[in-house]
Amino acid sequence: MSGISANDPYRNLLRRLITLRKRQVAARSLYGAGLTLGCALSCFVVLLFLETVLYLSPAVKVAVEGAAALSVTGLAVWYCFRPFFLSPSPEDVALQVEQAFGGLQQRLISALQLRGRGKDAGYSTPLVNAAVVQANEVLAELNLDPLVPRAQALRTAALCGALGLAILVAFVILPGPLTAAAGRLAYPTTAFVRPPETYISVHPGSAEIIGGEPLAITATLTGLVPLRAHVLLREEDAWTPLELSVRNGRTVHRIPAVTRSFHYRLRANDAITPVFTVTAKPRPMVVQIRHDNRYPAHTGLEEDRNVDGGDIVAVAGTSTALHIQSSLPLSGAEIVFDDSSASMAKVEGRFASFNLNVRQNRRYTIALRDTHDIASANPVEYRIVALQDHPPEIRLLRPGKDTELGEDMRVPLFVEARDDFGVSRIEIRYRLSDGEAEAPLAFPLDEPGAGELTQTYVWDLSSLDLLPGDRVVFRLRAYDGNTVSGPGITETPAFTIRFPSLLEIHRQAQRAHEEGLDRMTAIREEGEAVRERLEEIAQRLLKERQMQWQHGKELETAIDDQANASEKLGKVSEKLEETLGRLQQSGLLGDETLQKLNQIQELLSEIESPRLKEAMEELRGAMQRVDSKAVEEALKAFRGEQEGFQRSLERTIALLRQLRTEQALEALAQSLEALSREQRRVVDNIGDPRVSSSLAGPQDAIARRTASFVDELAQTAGKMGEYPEASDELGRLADRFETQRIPERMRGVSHDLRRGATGTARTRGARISGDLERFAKELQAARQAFVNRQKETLIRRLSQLTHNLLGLSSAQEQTARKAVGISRESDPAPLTVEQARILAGATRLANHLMEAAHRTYFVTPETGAALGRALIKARETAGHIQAGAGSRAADTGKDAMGALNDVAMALRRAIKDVSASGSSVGLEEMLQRMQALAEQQSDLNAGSESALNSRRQSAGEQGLQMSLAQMAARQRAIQQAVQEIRRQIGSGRHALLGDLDNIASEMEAVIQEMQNRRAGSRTLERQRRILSRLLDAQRSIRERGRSRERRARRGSDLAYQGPGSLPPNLGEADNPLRRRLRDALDAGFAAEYQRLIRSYFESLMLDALKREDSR
Amino acid sequence: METEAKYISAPGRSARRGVGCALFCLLTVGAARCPAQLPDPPASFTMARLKFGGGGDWYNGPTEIPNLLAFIRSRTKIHTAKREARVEIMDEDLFAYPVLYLTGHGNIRFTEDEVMRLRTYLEHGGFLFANDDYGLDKAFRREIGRTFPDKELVELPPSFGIFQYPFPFPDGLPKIHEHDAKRPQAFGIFHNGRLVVFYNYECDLGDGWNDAAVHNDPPEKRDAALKMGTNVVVWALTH
Repeated sequence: MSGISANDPYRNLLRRLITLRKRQVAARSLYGAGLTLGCALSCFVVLLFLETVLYLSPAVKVAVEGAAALSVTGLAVWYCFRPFFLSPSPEDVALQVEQAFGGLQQRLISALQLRGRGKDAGYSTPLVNAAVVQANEVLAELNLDPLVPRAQALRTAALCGALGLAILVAFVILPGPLTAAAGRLAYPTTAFVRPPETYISVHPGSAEIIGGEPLAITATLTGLVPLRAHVLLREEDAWTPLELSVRNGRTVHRIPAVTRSFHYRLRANDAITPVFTVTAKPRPMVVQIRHDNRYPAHTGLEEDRNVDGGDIVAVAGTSTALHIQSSLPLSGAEIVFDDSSASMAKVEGRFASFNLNVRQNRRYTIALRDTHDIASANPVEYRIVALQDHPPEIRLLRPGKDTELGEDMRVPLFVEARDDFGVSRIEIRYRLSDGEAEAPLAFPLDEPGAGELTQTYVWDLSSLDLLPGDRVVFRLRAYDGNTVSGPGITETPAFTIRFPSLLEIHRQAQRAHEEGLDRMTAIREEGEAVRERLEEIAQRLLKERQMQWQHGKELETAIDDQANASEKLGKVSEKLEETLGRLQQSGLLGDETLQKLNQIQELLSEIESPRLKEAMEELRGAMQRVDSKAVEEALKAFRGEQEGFQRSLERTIALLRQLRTEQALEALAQSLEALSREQRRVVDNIGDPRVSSSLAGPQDAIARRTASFVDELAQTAGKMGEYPEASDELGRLADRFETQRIPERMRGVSHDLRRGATGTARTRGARISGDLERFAKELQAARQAFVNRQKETLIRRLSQLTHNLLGLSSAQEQTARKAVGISRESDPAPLTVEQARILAGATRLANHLMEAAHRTYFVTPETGAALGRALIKARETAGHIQAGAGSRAADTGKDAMGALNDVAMALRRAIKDVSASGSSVGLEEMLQRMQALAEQQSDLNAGSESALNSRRQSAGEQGLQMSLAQMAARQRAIQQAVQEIRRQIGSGRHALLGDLDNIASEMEAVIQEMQNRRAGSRTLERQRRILSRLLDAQRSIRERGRSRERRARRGSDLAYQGPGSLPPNLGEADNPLRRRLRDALDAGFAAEYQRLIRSYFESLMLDALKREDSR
Repeated sequence: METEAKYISAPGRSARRGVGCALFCLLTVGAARCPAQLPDPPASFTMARLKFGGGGDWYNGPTEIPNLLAFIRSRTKIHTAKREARVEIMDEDLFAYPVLYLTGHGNIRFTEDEVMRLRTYLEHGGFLFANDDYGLDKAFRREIGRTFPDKELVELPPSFGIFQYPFPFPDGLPKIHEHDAKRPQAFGIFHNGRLVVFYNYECDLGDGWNDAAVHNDPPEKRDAALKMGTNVVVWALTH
């Protein structure tokens, strides 16, 4: 037995135990690994859940993930790795086996201990070997698997698997959030943003847009889509939120026109976009338009510049340069007209310019394109208004109707013409009979091209060789200077000028005078009846002392009758004035006679004095008040005025009657002279083969008119019984016409002319002409003799009156001197008688003066008034003498003497005027001299114009100086002649000739300008004015009432609209004074002059306002 | 030019605010505003008080214009400033003000240059609102006569449009202050048919615009004055 070796069993035993131990360690380690993994997965799940839900912050994540990692690591170290380092010894394993298997009885442990310590402990090797063998055998028989802890490892592995599976399922179900969370967990230190609930997609985002274009901001919402969204807009600082409705996950904000850049963002639910920017790129636009107009030359308008806009209002034919300033630099521009035509502009930077011609009314727009090729939009439409050049207006103010030709064969034409751009010329177009073509005649203009002109031209028709009875039909034609579409032409209506015979006019005038006299006589009788009624009423009133109804009615009737008489007299006056005008024009009467007629007409118009009207009104008022005393006083005044009316009327009738004879004589003389001239003209033309055959007709006409003249002569002679000498002279002349058979002889001449016996006709005609001329002289001499006789008679009467007046004056002076010495105690009888004689003499003189006044208008009403004063004072003197008031009688006596002297002086002036009326410086001759001066002035004006024009054309300066010196001398001569006339006519009548002083001063200015070599257009203008005034001076006596008409026109210009409504002109430039003030202020004067101008016009306007108020 | 972008909102608050937002949306769904336009540019009208020489108190009534502007702002669509501007005729910015307001007592005197410039201003779209605060009439008529020597101050009848809109005054200018107890009169100067000067005489609209405490005007008088002033301003701005 001792021979058995124990080494192999031991190694087997040990190997088995070690194997067991390894298996146990491995099992424990596996368990640890499973535990660690499970723990890790658990942590992951927890973290994942937390991250998904909470979006952990990096700090939390770091902390949590760190803790988890530490835990897992700890578990791994403890449970996975520690078993390897702390594995049991074989004895421990053997002990575990013995404990697990109770039947071993410590054999295993004993075998191991014996084997380990046998030699040292003295045990026998065989024993030990045997123990080992036995132990080995026992162990070999044992199943050691239960001693390996595999179940725990398996459980942890299962747990891990379950966890892994759960995670996998979760990822499958929620891949996004879990993956995102896992991702975020992978970066614990990174802060992740929570995704919104709502997502916004914006269109267009940031954008550039052309200014003025519409913009739609569209937002598409996803995620949680709310019902409302907001767009936030910002131009400057503050955001302006605007709410939008969301439909179908979409919302739109529309901006009709983006004019400025702005920022925006959208907000919906929890989502908000970043800021987008919309940049508005501006379109080019017109910022300024100016146009320079160059008007057609005929308008006379200067080029102007208009900055008020693109509307062009200009006369047709205007060239306009249009300058446009754009808001942006331009690449192109064009002007587009309403007919779609277009015109390209010249472009430079921001500026574009066009040239266009204004021809017709059009509209246009301006299209711009900037350097970015952006075009302008919504262009403004401008107008081109082509003002048409209106044709001129022309009006013939005088004669303004059909008229008759006067003896001077001249017709003054007074024309008013206006045109928007100036009247270039006017012509007279006339024809002699219906069949003939119109002939043109230039109407001279002072200022051709003036916009408004009033021009006078005396048309001399003498060159037309008109015969009495001929007619000239004429019209005036005005042209403007339109060179674009041709001159505008306007004509006046046609007027007729008739050339009446003097005898015809004379008869008409005589008829008119007769009628006038008849009417005036009737008026006088009516007035006399009124006077008598008034006297009767006054006496009854005086008697009854009480105003009765009957009195009132009678007074009313009397007043009405008087008013009626006044009205009739007014009509007579108008008729006389009309006749006077006709006579003035015809030249039938001399200026002396015309002047007398004028005076009479003036007297006539003054018969109805304003005082008479006032007296009537006063009487009416008193009657209405039923105030007897007032009626009495008013009646007294009315009677006085009515008597004055009657006296004036009687005087006028007497004067007119006297003048009628004078006028008839003059008219006959003029008619005969005219017949003589016509006969002479026929005779002179008999030798002319061109016209001699046509002279028979005119000769017949002269014969007829001569026959009429003879009849008229005889009739006039028959009517002049009041003046037997004149009647005899006219009768004798009429007899001579009869005996010499003048009309029959004229008809013989006509017969000779018809049969071609021109020689006989000329001889017989010349004889007749000589007879006519002789008769004409005789008739003129008879007329002059009549006038002289009348004048001499009148002068005698006036001289006698003057002599008597001076005698009375002397007597009054002596009485006044004596009266100083009387007193209450002295006897006044002698002086009273003397004064009574003076008074009676004065009364007689008054009657004589009245008679004289009936024969001449030179005895003025003032003369009568002075004599009235003398009578009153003489009466007072008588009263004072009777009262013994010596000194007072002396004073009033002196006053009476002074008044008588005044009357005497007035009568002397009347004598002088009567004498002068037929003297060498009479009115007629004076007018002839004025006419001659006017002709000289006309020649001088023509010379001045010619000389100054030649200077403009570079003629010799030295020659011009000589001409100017000569012309100055001629002007001086004319000036002196005018002053001489002024001096001769004296102060009494110079007004008849207009303002001669003014003419003289104008002449002085012309002379100075010529002498100082400053003559120019102003000098010519002055000379034209001088000529015009000289002509006016002659016409002034003929053209009565002209000044009154002018005053009337000027007054109507100042009419004012009441404040109840806006005036039609809105107060703009209606007042001519205001308009002229504006014009004057715009003329560019210095400020101080402007102040003076302004104050001058303001004072004028103030005066006008006061006049208006007083009216 | 067009761009498209998607953006994610700022984090947080969604869960907490979701319900609140939903409730808010539900509550406000009926109160949606009109389709929005781009806001108007910041522009406002003010009247410029005209400073004039001659000694008159052009500065009279400092509350007049602000009160009128406030009234206009509240009663019309016109955006008005809160304060008045002050300007002299020769100031560079005269033409920046569409309406000038002249008031005061006593004398006015314009220099020749001022006369010409004022005329230019008025002829080119400007408007002068003149208020006789008592004692101004003579001087004003004189100076406006110098300014427009070719025009007349014409009385504006009640039928004139300035008394019709926006507030009707069928009897014409209202009487605000007593002054000389004469009837109130509105005068105008027209240029090319456009009213360029409105002058109220014996009325004193300006005093009616003052604070109530200044003159103790009854409310109806102040109201009439403010309405009439508004009419004038509206007329000035729309013609």
